Amino acid sequence: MKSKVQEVAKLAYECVMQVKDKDFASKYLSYARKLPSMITHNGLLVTVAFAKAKKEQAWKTLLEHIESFLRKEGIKKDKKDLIEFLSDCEVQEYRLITKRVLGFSIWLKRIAEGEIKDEGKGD
Amino acid sequence: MQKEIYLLKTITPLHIGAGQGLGHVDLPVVREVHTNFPYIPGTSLKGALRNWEINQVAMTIGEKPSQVEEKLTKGELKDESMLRLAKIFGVAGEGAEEGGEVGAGKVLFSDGFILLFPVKSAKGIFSLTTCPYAINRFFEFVGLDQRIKEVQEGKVKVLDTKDHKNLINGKLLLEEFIFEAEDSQELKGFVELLKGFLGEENIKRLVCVSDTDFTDFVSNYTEVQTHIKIDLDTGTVKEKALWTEEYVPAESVFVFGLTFLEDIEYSPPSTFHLGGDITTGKGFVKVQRLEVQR
Repeated sequence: MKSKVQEVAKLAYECVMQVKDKDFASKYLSYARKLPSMITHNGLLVTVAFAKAKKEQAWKTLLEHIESFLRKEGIKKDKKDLIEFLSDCEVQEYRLITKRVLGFSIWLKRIAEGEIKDEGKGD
Repeated sequence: MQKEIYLLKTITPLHIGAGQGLGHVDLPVVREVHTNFPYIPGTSLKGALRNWEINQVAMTIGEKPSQVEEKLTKGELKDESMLRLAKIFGVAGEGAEEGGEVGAGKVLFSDGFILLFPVKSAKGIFSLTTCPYAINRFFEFVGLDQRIKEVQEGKVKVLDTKDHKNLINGKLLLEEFIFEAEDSQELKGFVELLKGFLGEENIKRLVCVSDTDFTDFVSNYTEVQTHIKIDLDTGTVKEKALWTEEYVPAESVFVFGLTFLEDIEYSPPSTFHLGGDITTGKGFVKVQRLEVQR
């Protein structure tokens, strides 16, 4: 028996460990730091669209991590693109998803700050 | 024993801190555990008001506020104004021990809970949102036997759809959410109570959303400001000196109560400062007593 927090923290840890030794790790850290406040200020959809538009490996990986979280939680079961999936859900569901992804993104930030060395390469 | 009800409106954003946060805000505001609504702890109210009164007395008798406070703790209450202070806010330390005449304060300050929360609106600048839970809690607090029924998700209740500042063809756009408005006479009593405090204009901004929607608004749409410190020598941002701070937005309305255990001439000033960052314009509030006909 595990609590929700433990599950979310474990997944976030696994995600961060995947990128820890990659060359874009420092960028990943810098974006993971921004992610929670970006979601709260601009909403999840806008944030996802922004991240996609950046066409950078670090953003791309962050989006994959969000997607894997949604899959693991059983929220997203289809093959739809993340933007399409989010635009299709009912407003109450969208809010709940936002809340959940925000919680997960805070874990990504926490763990990335602990695991990845800050080389000041972010923007 | 007499109970007085007060309404409090934030004129500038309010920061009563909850210490170091671990979420997306570094310095969050205090929130109730069971609702996640921002609130005003009684200790913050009492502290700010005590400060204000001590400053008044200090100015009158030409001493420093700290000297006045020292007199209080030592129980030197010969002066009429000192005795009044001691009675309102109580005496701690030596003054309370030696069979002192006061001890604990004779005015009880309640926590202030939120009643109205402003949310950006597509029309009419902002709406003052509330919810059945907040209204019913307010009724219970002031001792009125009225209750509001729940609101369906995605709908809002307003007193009069024709005379409302925020509606566009019966619809309401708050932040990025659209609601359908319906007339509700249920709100009449509530609106009547608040009219004197809010004024004619702001009463037309009042909307009652569902409990869940209200929780969403007060959780996600508070003001978050980013602060930095500038390095004096370089004129650029100091390393590791960037943080975010959360505020309850201006125009929010809270309710609190004062209970008098003795007959004391006391009412809070109509405006004062509360919470943190008051030297940078935060926490300026307006207070007014609410007369309730039971």
